[in-house]
Amino acid sequence: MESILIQAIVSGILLGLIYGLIGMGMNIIYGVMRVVNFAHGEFMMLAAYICYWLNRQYATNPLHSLIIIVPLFFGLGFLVYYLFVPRLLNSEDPEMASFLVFFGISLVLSSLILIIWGADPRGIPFPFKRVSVSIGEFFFPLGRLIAGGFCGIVILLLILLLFKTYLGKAIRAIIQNREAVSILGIDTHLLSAFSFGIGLLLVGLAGGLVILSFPAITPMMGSSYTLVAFVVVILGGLGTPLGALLGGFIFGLAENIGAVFMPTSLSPVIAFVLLITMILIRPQGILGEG
Amino acid sequence: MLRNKNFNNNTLFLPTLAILGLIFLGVIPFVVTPRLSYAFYLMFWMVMASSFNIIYGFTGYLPFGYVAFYGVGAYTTAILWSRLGVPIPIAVLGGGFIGVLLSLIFAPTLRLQGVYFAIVNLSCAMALRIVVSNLPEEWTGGSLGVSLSSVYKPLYSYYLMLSLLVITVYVSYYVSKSRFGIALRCIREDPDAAEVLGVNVVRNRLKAWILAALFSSFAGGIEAWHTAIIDPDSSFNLLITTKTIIYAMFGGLGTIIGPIVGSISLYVLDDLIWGKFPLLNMLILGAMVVILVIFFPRGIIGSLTRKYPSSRRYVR
Repeated sequence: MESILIQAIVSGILLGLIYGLIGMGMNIIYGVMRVVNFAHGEFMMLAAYICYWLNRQYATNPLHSLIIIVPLFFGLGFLVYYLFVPRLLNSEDPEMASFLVFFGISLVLSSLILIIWGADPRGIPFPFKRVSVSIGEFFFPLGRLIAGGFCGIVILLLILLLFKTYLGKAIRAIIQNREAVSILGIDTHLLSAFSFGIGLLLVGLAGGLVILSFPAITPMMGSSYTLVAFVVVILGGLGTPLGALLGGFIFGLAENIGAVFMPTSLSPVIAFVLLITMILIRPQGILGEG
Repeated sequence: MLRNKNFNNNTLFLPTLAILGLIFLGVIPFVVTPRLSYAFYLMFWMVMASSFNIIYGFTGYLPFGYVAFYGVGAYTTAILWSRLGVPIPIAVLGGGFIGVLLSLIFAPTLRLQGVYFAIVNLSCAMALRIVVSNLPEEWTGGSLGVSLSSVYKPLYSYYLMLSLLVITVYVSYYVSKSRFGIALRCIREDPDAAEVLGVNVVRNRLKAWILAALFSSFAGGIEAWHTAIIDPDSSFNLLITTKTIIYAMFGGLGTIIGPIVGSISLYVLDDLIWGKFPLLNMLILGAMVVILVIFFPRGIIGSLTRKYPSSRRYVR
């Protein structure tokens, strides 16, 4: 029993890192431009499918495909930003309008993936020699260890970017007060586009890593990851990047420890119970303000 | 004198239109029997879009997990009838009752606003779907669902849906004209200002929420009777919320005939697209949401009344 619990905790933390990465992307986008990226999970799924496609065509390791995914998704972020967001920011109710527009984009993306790759679950041959690592009496899946570790590094880099560089300072400033930042002479559109790029870059990375940690990808999985991102973000606080990391850990742990005590299919409910409890006692989330 | 005449005209306009529509829908079963189901779903979407309009169009709360009420209505009706032997009409009423109960359980989330509310409501609906598909199989039939084929009477369910449509449209007309409707619009524009002006925000939005839940869970129950089968995938399919939102928005939120016009025009279009290019259906729906929100956020009716302000009194 104890060893099962410890394994659940470790895999909860590893998944929590991935969930945190997804949530941080969403929170940077929301914090900077008050746009709820409903298509977050679909962008992640797109990255996973590109990894799958690269693997099929050139037998690339998913970690190597990230070299292509990262600039691609950063650029995609700029493109999506300039196509939609400035218009939305001018509408009557920018938050709600953006929510609906990105919902539309999520439908378009998931049906495009369905048309291109079909409805069957897809997977890639496992790229490493060993499937799991044993430490003492515990066994850990190697794919998740690598994915989790990679996420950890990216999250550290992101925290360095946000808290140690001038650019990060600008991003944190624009999250706090958009008008004040534009008065100070910072190009808010460029900064927002950059933040959108970062958000999609993070979710693209998560997509490449997800294909390592889970055996198969399907065109239906996008919305469930969007939902994960929502729960993570609300637990931690909407618009606070670090809160999303915290929310990711809570969600990952709740899901995995829950799976020890109750049927696997029911374990996501724990996360939702957490969500509802959080809303009742602290609607702004753990690190959210006001 | 002229004003007076005008006034008479526009009070008669909506009822006349409504009665014509009612007669049309009432005689359809005798004229075109094979298309009964088509007309049934047309009414179903009108009910969904109109009741959704009460909570989003009037009050400004976007329930993204709206499908939860529909699903709960369908499941309650099916379980009451098949497991407890309750006659169908009473089972449908029971579905509405449980739907209202569910709305009361979800009521604390109404203290959230904007996208926060939308996201949380969606999460609630997803959690509910997981709970329902994990309920004991003797009750819900597991992933296979429940069959109601032995009580399948399309004509009866057709007229039941027609009556529901009449009630829904009448109630939203009444809401729109009443003090209650004005209170809801105030809440939509600025809840704090509404509170200051003496509007009981909590009570009014709760009433709107319950109304929206009631009609959609009735619609779910009657639809379960009409299709004679339910299962967790179709009863908690997010596409139901999606279509409801798009239909209501396309017509024009916050008006009475907006959701009706939107449902008719898009349901017909959707059916054509679905028949010709089933794969492209979702793609087109998605692209349509993007285009609608960016270019026509007010929908058909909203854009018309903006262009011709004098037509406003006919649609509100």
